[in-house]
Amino acid sequence: MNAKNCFYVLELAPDASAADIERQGRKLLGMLELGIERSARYACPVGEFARDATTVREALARLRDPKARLREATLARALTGDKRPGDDDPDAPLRDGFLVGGFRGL
Amino acid sequence: MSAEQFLGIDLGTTNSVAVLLGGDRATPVRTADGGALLPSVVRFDGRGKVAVGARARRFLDEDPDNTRSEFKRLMGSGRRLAFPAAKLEKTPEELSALVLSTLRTNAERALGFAPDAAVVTVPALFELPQTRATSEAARLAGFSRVEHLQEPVASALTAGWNRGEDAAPWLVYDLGGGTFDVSLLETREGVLRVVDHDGDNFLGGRDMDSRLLDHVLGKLAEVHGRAFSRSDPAFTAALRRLRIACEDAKIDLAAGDDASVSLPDPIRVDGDEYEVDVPLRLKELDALVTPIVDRTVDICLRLLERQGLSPAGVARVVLVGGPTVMPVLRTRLHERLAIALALDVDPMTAVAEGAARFASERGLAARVAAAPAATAKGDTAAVRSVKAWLQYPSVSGDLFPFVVGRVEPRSIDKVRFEREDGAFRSTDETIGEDGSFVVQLELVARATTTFRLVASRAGEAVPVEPAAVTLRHGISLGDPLLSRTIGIALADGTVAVYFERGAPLPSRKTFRLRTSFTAHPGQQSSAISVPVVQGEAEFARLCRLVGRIDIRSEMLSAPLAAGSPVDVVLELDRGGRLTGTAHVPDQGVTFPGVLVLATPDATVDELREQVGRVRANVELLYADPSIAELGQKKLSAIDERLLDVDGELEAAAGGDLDALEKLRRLLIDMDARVGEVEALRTWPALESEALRVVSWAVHWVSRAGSDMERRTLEEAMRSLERARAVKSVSDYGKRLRTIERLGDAVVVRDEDGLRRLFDEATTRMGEMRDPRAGRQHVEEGRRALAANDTAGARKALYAAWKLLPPPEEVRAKAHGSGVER
Repeated sequence: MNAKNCFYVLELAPDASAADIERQGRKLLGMLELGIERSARYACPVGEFARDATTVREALARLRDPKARLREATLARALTGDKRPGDDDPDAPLRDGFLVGGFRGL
Repeated sequence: MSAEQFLGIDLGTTNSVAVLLGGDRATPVRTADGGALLPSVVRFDGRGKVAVGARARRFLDEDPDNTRSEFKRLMGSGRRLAFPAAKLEKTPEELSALVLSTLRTNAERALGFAPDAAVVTVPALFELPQTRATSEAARLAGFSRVEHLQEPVASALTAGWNRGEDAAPWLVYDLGGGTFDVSLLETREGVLRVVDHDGDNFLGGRDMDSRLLDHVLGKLAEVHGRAFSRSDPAFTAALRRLRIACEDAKIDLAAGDDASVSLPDPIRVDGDEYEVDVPLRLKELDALVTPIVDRTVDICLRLLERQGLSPAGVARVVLVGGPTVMPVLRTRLHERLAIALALDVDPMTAVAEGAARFASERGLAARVAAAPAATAKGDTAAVRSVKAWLQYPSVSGDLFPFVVGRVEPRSIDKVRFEREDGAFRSTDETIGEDGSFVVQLELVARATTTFRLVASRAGEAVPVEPAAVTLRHGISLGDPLLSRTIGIALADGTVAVYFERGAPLPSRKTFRLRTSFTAHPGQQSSAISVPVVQGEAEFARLCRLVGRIDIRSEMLSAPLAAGSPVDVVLELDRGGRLTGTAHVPDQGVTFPGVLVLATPDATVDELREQVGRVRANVELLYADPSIAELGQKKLSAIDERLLDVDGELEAAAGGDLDALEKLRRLLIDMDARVGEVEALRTWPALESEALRVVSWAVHWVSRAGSDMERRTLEEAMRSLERARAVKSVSDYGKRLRTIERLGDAVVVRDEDGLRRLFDEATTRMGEMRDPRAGRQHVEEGRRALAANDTAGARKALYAAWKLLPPPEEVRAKAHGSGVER
């Protein structure tokens, strides 16, 4: 489960080009700056989540690094189709938290 | 071409430079004597009259007591510098403000108005107090809006501006008066990216001068038959004169093989006079300077190695900073790196020019307009009928960027953009329900392009403002990256990392932490401290304390029990300025602001003692058989740095405040390095722990983990093995904790696992802050487990676990932190 996968945050396919990534990131930052509501949330295979300028900038910075991009793309592909556990699963936040934080340290 | 002007300032240790950018043309701002460089020197005479720049520099020799230079290295230190003739004391920020104010006045002459906004550069490895001090200096100089940019990024922007894309990455080698930075950059699809950077906050042209000065002092000792010590306060004034003479000789040697360090009048020491005329040959200077150049090359190689590159994989090196004009430096770089030098960038103005380009990209015009201008990013404009807020990059590496907009009132239904050359017209975009629209443009390659904004309602044209936007196709800069990790020191001695090194700025993070002890209202001693630290070390004590948020007792309405949640928010702006708050949700109180601390003060004697302790520690470590070959290598590096420490100690004892500050920072660095070597002693224990943790995590993950958790564990174990191979204690520890956390996440989903954890909690009941509450939680958890309520059991387990306090000695080493995860 990794709702914060950079491709999910930017709503792009894992094979998006570097130019697509930059363009989409800039567009989202502009929309967030203008307070356009639909930019403040994103849908991905594991649910719908909040998005802000920090998340977008981090996703952009991460995808500019070829190694990190490869990892994100692999994960995005691997996770597509995974279901988000129901609200009754109290471990979901823990696992999400682990994966988001954990992969940074790997 | 835009008529707007953008101001970039390189506030340097030795010299400062301002550059104005109008359209694509960058022009250095001329100083009073017609040059581009303003010496960062300030003098106050007996009547309190101030002189800045070249006029002040002349007095470094004649009136050294009332003339100050190199105060940039003291920024954020909280020191006050005396000007006895005027009976004044000034902080380094105030002196920097005078330099900035002079540059602002010079820019005003060129612009016809006093600039309100500028981008002021800071060294990449500047810490938060220093960056904050630079902001303060700019404010004092009269700038109402200032952004900061890291020096290597600024010079990279200049270097990359007029070039196409390189297939290979390139280096920016920036050797300033007091700092060395090297950045690895690449340009891809129009975006300039700082891949990585490295540097030494203690290495600069001044160190070359110091070596030359020591050489000259040695020669003088031979001639006059007495020792001239840098630690002798009676010699301070003479030293200043000698430093200038050394600098002059160095400049002479750029054009010839022979020069001399000479003074027109003899120097006076203890009432005696000594003539100064020391011949100096280029070869001697080269020999003195080469070890410093070699240290910079080692740092370049370290950076490349970290990125898995060899020098052959680098396209070119861009040189920035005054010392890089020295022929020996260029020859040595070529010998050791064999990378082509890019000679089309002026090493003296590159940083300021990059700052001006960044100001342009950010839409930070020198004149802050009362009404926003039509060409700036983030335009807003009001008209009688329709106003539009637009967001677009003023400089774009992408030929097809988006413009995002919002109109108010929503009295139009379509918008489009038409390029002024008539060769492009966007699609007609329908205005959304919320008044927003997104339009894609097509720029002219490597040129500035203006597009008309055309709005309509039911096919009828409607005037809209801004009526046009201007975008430039060129290298654009990704977000500036944070150069040092920032986090909160936790009571268990570790660090909760908020922003990792390399994180894009600006950024904002919130973490929920918990108080580690109970605080009572009104009791001063029970204030809970949230220390903010900066550095790469795993343990808080090895990181630099840069701020603190205090949860003050007098603000509490009731006792705040141990384990209460505290939401700590840290926010970094684009220039690395930090603010933060701590919110206590149980009581609805927010504690605002992060006090960025001045660097702690220390006397020369205290620092001398500290040096002694470091040296003794190093000796012990050399003799320790458990420090294997790797430790010996690290110790040799520390030994080398100790030589610098000795030199700075001597200078500090002679009254050199700059040396004192450098010494203090060197010692923090040494402490961290010694800590790393000491940590190797714990290697065997770490290996045993690894055995325990890995087998435990493997057991639970294979028994109860998901496929993904298994894959994650495999990857984590590979990382652990890599850290083991290079015996990196901190990396090994971090990887081990990752594995432990993974095991933690899985074990609490398993009934057997929970049962075992309750057993362990029972054995540690005596250590708990409230053993009675601990017992209750354990019993409650066991009951929940018996009723197959694993969620309830987990909740009880976490509650019991939180009652285990970190030992007091650990907390003391964590800058007195009163919070934990």
